[in-house]
Amino acid sequence: MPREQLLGLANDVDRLLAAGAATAAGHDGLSRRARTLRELGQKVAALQPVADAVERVTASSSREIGRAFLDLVMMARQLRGSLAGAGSDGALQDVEKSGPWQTPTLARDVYAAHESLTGDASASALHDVAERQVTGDLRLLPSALAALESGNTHLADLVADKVLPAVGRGVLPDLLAKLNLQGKSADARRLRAVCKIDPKLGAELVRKGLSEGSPALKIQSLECLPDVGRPGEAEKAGLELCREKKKDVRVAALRALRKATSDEALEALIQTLLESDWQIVQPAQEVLAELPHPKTTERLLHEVEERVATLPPPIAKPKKGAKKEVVKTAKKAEAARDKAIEDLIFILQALGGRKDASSPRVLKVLLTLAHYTEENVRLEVVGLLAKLGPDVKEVVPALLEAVSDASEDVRETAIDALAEFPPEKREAAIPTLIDLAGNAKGKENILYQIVGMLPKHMDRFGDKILDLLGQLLKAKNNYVASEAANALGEIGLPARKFLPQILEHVKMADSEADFEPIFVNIEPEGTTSIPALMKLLSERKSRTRANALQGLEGYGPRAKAAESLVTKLLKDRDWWVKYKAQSALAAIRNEK
Amino acid sequence: MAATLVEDTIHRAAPDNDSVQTARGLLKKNSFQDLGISADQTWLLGRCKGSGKEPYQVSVDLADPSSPTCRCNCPSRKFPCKHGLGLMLLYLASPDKFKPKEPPAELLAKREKKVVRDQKKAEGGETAPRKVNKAALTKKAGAQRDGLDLLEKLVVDLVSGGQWFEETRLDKLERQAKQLGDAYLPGAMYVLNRLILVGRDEELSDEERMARASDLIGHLWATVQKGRNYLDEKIAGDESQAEADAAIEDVLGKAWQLTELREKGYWKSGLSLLELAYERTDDEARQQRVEFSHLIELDDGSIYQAITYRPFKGMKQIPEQSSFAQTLTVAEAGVYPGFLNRRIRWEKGAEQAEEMKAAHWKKVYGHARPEFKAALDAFRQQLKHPLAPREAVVLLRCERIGKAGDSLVLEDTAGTRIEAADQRKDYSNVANLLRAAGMVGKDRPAVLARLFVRPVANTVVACPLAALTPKHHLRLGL
Repeated sequence: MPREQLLGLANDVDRLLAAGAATAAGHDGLSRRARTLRELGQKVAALQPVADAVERVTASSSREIGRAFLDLVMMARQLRGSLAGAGSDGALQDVEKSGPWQTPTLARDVYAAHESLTGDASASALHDVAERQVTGDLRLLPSALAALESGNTHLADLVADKVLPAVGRGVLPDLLAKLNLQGKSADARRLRAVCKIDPKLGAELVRKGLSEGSPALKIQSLECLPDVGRPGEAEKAGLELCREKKKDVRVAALRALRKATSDEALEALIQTLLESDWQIVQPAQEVLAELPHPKTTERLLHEVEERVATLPPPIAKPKKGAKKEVVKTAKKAEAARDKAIEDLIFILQALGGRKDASSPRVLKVLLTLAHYTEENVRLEVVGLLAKLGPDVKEVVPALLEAVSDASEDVRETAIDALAEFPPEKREAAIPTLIDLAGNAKGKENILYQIVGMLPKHMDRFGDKILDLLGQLLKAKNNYVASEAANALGEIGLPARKFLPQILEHVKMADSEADFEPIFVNIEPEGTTSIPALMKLLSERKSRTRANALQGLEGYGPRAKAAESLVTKLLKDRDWWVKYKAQSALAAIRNEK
Repeated sequence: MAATLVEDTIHRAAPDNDSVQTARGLLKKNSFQDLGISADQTWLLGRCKGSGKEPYQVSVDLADPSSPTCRCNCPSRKFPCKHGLGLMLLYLASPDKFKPKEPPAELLAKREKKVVRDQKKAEGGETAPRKVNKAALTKKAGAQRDGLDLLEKLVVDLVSGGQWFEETRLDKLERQAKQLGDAYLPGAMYVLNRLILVGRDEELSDEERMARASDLIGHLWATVQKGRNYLDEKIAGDESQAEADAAIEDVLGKAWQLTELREKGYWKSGLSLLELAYERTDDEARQQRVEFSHLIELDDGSIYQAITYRPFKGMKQIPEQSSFAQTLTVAEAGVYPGFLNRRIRWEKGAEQAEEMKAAHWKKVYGHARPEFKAALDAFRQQLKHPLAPREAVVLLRCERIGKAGDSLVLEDTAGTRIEAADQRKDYSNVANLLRAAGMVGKDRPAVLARLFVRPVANTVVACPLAALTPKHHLRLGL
C-alpha cells in the first residue's frame, strides 16, 4: 500500500511537470495523496516527511510553488530509486547452445573494423584486420551480419568471404535464420558464408538453391558447388546450365566447370570461345586457363592450327562502281573473315593463359604465328610472348624481331614489354633499340620508351648511348630533347660533356625535363652549373627562370650563392616562377 | 627482454588508432631498412623511408618492455610517431629481420638521462606541495555560486510554467546552458543539455519523456541545493574534507589533477587490475566521446573505471583511453571520490603489464556476487543519493541465464532475477549475451553488467558488458 502510494505520487509529479507547477497548488489529487500518506505515516514514520513535502506544494503561494514543487520532484526521484523493482515473471527457458565464441581482438582493431562495417570509415581498416585474421570476434558479429545487406558490394563480399568465416560455426544459426533461397544478393552472400564455414551444410543448401532458388541464389550455388559438392556434381550442373538464356546464370555455369575433367565440359568451353559476347567468352577463357582436364592445352592447340589452316584469305576490295551484289558479297566475306580472326584470337588468349603456355609445343605455335600475315594475330601473339616473361629464352629474341615489325602497334607492344623486363634480361636487344631510336623520327612513342631504358645499360653500351642521347638532345621536338636530358641526368657524371647543351635546353620554353636532379647528378659540385643557372634567372622568358630555379633546387644548400637572386624571384610577376622560387629557397635553406 | 613486447603494449603506447593503422601501412610498403636489435634485446633500431629526403632514424628503447620509449627524428607532433610504432609492429611480425646491432652512444646517453629524470620524478612526488592560488579559487567559487543562482532561477521557471519541452523553451534553455559553462559549472551544463535532448527526442513516448525529465530536473535541483551549501562554506573558508563534498565538486564538473587527488587522500597503492570490458560512446550532451575501461581489482574485487573524455572538437589531439589485454600492476593511482564505481587514473606508463594467467581469471570469478540482492541493495542505496550516478557496474554470478518471453534474464542461486537490457539503440549487448549464454550459460558465468533503472516501469535492469567463467572471457559490447 505505501509502495503504491509513493509510486503513484511519483507519477503525479511527472504529470504536473508537464502541466506546470502552478497547477499543483490546491491540486485535489495531490491533496488526497497527501492525506493518504499522512494516514499511512502514522504506521510508517518514514512517510511523514513525504506527506509534508506534498502539503508544502498544495499549500504554496504562486511565488513559492516552484521551489516547493522542485523539492517534491527531488524527493520523488529518490523514492523511485529506492522502490525500483527488478526481475521478471514467468518460467525461464534455456538458451540454445551456440558458439564457440571469442573476443580476443584488441579494442582499437575492433572499433576500426566496426566503423568499416557500419560504413563510418573506409573498408581498408576491415581489410587490414581481415588480413591479420582477427575478425573472428563476437563483438563484430552484429555489424558484420548487418553489413551483408550493405549497398557497398565490396564491403559486403569481404564480410561474406573473410569476416564471417573467421567467426566460425557459431554464426551459422544467425545466417540460416535469415537465409531466403528466393532472396537477392544479401542471401547469396549468406549462402556463400555458410559454404565457407560448413561445406557439408553448404552443399545441401546449394543443391536446394540450384533447384528452387532465385536467379541470384542459383548463380551463387553454381559458384559454390565446385568447392562444396561431390566430385563431378558441379560439372554436371554447369553443363546443364551453361546454355541458359540468362547471361549471369550462364556465366556462373561456365565458372562452375572450373574443376571439370570430362571431354564434354572441355568441348562446351571451347565452343563458348567462338561466341561474340565478350562477357561470355572471358569467363570461358579464364576457366580454360585453369581447367584440370589433361588434354586442354592439346585441344586448344589443335583448334588454333585448324583455325589458321581454314582462315579465309584477305578479301579484295570491290572496284569503284561495282555492282551492289558484289559489294554485299565482299562485305559478308570480310565479316566472316573478321569473325574467324576474332575466334582465333580468343582461342589464343585461352591458350596463353594456360600454365604450360611456355611448353615447346605451344611456344612453337606462338613463334610461328608471331610472323603471321594478319596484324591482329601478330599483335596478340607478341603480347602473349611478353606475358611469358624474359626467363623463357625464346621470348627476348622474338620480341627483338617484333621491334622491327611493319605494324607500329606490334612494335610498341614489343618495346613496352622489353622496357618492363629487368635490364640484364633485355641486354641483347639494346644495340637494335639504339639503332631503331636513331631512325625513329616521327615515332615519338617508341622513342620515349627506348630512351627511358638506356641509362641502365651504360656499362656495356656507354658510348653508343651517349652519342644517341647527344643527338636527340638537339632534336627540334622539345619532348624528345627533354627525354634525352632526363636520361642524361640519370646517367650522371659520364654525361658531363653535354652540360652546355643541357644548359641551352633550359631555355626551351616548353621543356618537359625535370631539371631538379639533372644538374646535380651530372655535376655534383656545381662549379659550372650553379653560376650558369644563376645567370639564367634573369632571362626574359618566365619558363627559363622557372627551369633554372628547378636546377638550383636540386643543389640545395650547395647553391647558397644563389639565395639572394632566388629570394628576389619570390616577387616575380609569374606565379609559377614564384612557386618554384619558394621551393628552391626552402631547399637552399635546408628547410625542405 | 624484448620477448615480452606484445601488441597490446603497442596499442596502449599509440596516441590514436590512426597512428597504428598508418604504422601498419609502413610495414606493407616495406618502408623500414637497416633493422637491428641490441644483444641484450632492449633496443630496436632502424631507418624508415618517409616524405623527407633522408630516411628517418627510429629507435625503440625496451628497457621497460611494458612501457617502450620510441625516438625518431621525423617532424611528427604525435608521440610516439607512426615510425616508432611501425618498428615495434615489425619486430612482432618478423623478428628475424632484425640483425644484431648496438645503439649509438647518443641513444645510450638519452636512456641514462631518462632513468635519472624518472628517479627524480619518483622522489619529487612527496616534496614540493602544489601551489594553490586561494584568491583565484575563491573567485571561481563565487562565479560558481552565481551560476547556481542562475540555475535555480532557470529550473524554477522551467517547472512553473509547464510545457517545458516546447521548442522555443528548449532553444532558450540551450542558450542558458552555455552560461552555466561560463560559470565553471560544466557538470550542470551537461545535465541541462541532456534534458534538452530528452525534450527533442521524438522517439520517446510522452510518459518516458516525462519520467526522464523528472529525473534530470531532480538532479539539477539537487545540484542547486547541495552545491550552494558546499560553495557557501568554501567561500567562507571552511572547506570540508568530507568525501560527500568532494563528490559535489565532481558533480559540478571539477577537473581533478592527480596531485590534488593525492593531497586529498584519493589515492591507492599496489593495485592489480584486469580489464573486463571496454566501451566507447559519443555523448551528445557533453559533446564528447567518452571511453571507459572497466577494471576489476584482483585483490578486493572493486570495479573501477578508467575514463577519457575527448571533445568532438579536437578529438584527435587527445589520446584515446587505453584498453588493456594484460593484467596490470599499478604502483600508485588516483581514485576519484564517488560511489559504487570509482574513476581511476594514473600517470601514463606507471603501469606494469604481465601476461594474464588462469589464476587471475579464477580470482575475478571468485569476486562475482553469487546473490544479486546485495548488488541491487547497494545500487538502490546509491540511487538514494540525489547526486549519485543513476547506474553502477557490478559483477554478478549467474546460476542461470534464460529467456522469459522476449526477455533475456539473469538469475542467481536464490532465484532473484534481473532482466538484461540494452542502453544503445544502434548496438545490442543483449544479443551478444544471448550468444555467449549459449556457450557458457551452463557454467554459472559471471556477468559484468551496468545496472540502470528503466524509466516508467521503474525496474532495475542490467546492460551486459562481459561474461566470464574461470576459462572464458567474452566482451559483449563496444
